[in-house]
Amino acid sequence: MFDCGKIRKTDIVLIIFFLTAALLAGLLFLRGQDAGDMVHITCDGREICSVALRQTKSGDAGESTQDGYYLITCSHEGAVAEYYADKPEGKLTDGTGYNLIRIADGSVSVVSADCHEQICVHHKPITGEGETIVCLPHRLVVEITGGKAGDSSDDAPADELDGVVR
Amino acid sequence: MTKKIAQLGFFLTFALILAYVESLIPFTVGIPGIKLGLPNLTVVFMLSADRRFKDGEAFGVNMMRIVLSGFLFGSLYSILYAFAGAVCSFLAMKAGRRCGRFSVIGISVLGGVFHNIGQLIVAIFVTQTVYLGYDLPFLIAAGTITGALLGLVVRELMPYYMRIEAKNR
Repeated sequence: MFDCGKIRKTDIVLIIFFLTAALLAGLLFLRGQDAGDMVHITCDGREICSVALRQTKSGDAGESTQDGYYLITCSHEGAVAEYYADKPEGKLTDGTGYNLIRIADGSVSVVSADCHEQICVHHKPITGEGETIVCLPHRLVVEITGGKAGDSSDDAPADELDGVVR
Repeated sequence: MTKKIAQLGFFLTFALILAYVESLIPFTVGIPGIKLGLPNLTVVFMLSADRRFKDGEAFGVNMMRIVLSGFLFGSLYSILYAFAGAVCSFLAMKAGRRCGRFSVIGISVLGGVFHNIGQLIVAIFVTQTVYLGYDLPFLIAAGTITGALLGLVVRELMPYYMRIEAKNR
């Protein structure tokens, strides 16, 4: 007779094994994780812009704020980033795909996007080094890096915006 | 033969309905890839139904379900991910069943965990972002929990199916 009713001891062992493995790996990752310094936004593997995650304390009135909203439009001709200090209202693009990214207080999140699945919008805000938000339909990756080690090429964050409006 | 076609059609429909139900549930926990995996119920069920179905049949039903539900409720990317997850979880469940030490629940847990691992591997390749590996602990935990739940459901459903099946033999 067929039985699949009884939970066997090996089932429990398996479940406990996976849960502890997940817990240990999670703890390991969290411990090795620093708060990130730089946000890199790439589309199709090409970097569109990189922004310092925390406000620079230079006191330079013109350039001190990196916090705000970044509108990324990704099309086949290329990707463009636009910076807004306040959340832009109304229609954001004329048909091309967009992701609106918010950077504030050291955390990064996708506020809105016109992609099909909205996975990037539902993603929790990221703060730590190595965390990412990915929008697959737009092939967009938002990634936080440490910035200190080995990232000397990204020293001028705000200047790398391709198209700054306002 | 005709009976087999009807049965497989029934299971494919069942899986599609579950995929539809899942697409209706707003279940997001902030990490992409974590979902209930309701359609997986059918595969687990077919694999555990005491050799009533060949492995290839279970796999085929799952593949067709992925293509159909991908076009109906998802996108091409979701089909790609689901394929990777399905192949991984199918192999894991087959191995789990062959070793003979697990009940449905253990097999379902294996399927859930390896489904997520397969998807993560494809996601790393598609986005070329190794850092997605940071999500691995969450995906393993989620796969374990949803897998165990699905296994419980299959365990409860199985006697009913067997009874009906025996009557219509």
